[in-house]
Amino acid sequence: MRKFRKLAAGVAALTVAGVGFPAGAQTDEVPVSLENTSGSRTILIEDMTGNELQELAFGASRSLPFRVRVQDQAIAATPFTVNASLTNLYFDETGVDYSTLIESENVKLEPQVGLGFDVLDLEATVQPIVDLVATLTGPLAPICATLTGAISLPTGGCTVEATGVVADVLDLTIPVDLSNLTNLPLLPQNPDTGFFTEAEYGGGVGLGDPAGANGTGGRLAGTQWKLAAGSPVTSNLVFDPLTDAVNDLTRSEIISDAAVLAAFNEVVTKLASPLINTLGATTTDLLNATAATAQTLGADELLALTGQYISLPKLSVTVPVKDPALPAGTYRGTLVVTGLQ
Amino acid sequence: VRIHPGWPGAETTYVNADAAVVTVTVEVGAAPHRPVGPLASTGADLDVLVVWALALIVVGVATLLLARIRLENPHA
Repeated sequence: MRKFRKLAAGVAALTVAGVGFPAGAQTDEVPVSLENTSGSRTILIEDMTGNELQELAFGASRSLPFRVRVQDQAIAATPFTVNASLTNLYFDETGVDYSTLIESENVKLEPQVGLGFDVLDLEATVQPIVDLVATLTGPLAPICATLTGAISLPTGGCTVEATGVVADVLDLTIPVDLSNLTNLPLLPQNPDTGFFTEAEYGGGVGLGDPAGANGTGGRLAGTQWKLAAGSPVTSNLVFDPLTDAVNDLTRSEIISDAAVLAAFNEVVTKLASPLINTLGATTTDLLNATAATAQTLGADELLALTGQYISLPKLSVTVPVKDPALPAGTYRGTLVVTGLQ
Repeated sequence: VRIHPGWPGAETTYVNADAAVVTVTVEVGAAPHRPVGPLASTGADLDVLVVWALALIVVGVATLLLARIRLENPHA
């Protein structure tokens, strides 16, 4: 069954800022329904205290940090990229003056010193494939004589194995060490460093600049820099620790009793119930005698990820010296942020 | 600003893009190192003002000292 989510409320506030979306993107006033087979991913542009960012107001300062937070909730480990382009900054005291401007090439994007990104609250949802081994000793030992294919133990009794059994869906905490990210299934990346050498004319205040026409009815696009990104990693360095984490759990935490008994019944017809009961043992004895070991996890067993990926960029502006000098006042531009996956 | 990207569907995989905007404003001519008040129009930097202020203080102190000397020694 398809699940649909209405996803537009968060951007409605943009109307207040009086700025539009670039051509081809969804507007802020149209409810957008998107097919979402599992989980959610939300990208938030925030100030450094976590408030949603509507404006990067430099004031008289010339550098401003902000953050991009990608919040995944039980979503597949798919890549994401958050890009930004920038319009020129136009003189705007009583209205936008497109002839008086600070060119976008005077604005630089770069990571905040020492803080490129962070990862928080990371969890993997996995469904391991396990091998089950029941050691039939004590009250279960008499069963061995009735079984074909059981492996006899030198101390008496035998073992019965059921391999390749689908276990329960598990949520595992992934430890995050920012000095060693090799265990992360979705690897975050630093923001780019660079100047917005080409101005954006396809969004925000740039839409009204007559210099932005590209001659074919469209608008000139600006330099795109990466604010944040994450790319899937499927190496053993990711999956071995997850496998170990599963194997640190008890059998009953990994796979349900019902699944264990069903698996053994497939291996030995009616082992789990009629046979055991006939011989005076119980299914509880069998469950207590069963160990589960996860096979090495891979991408197929990683169902989803939950967590927050926080990118920490900053913008710096250099006011150019011009002749005649730029008039004092407010210069307004638009940072167009695009999320891709 | 919040962006909700679309998701690859179960039946089709596609690249999608959603965009949002952040207004960027910069104030020119009111940098903190610029003086305010009557001297603002000169464009003098704060360090220049400090030098002037120190100079005025030195001149003032010297004037006071001279005045005191003249008072104590009116025939000097």
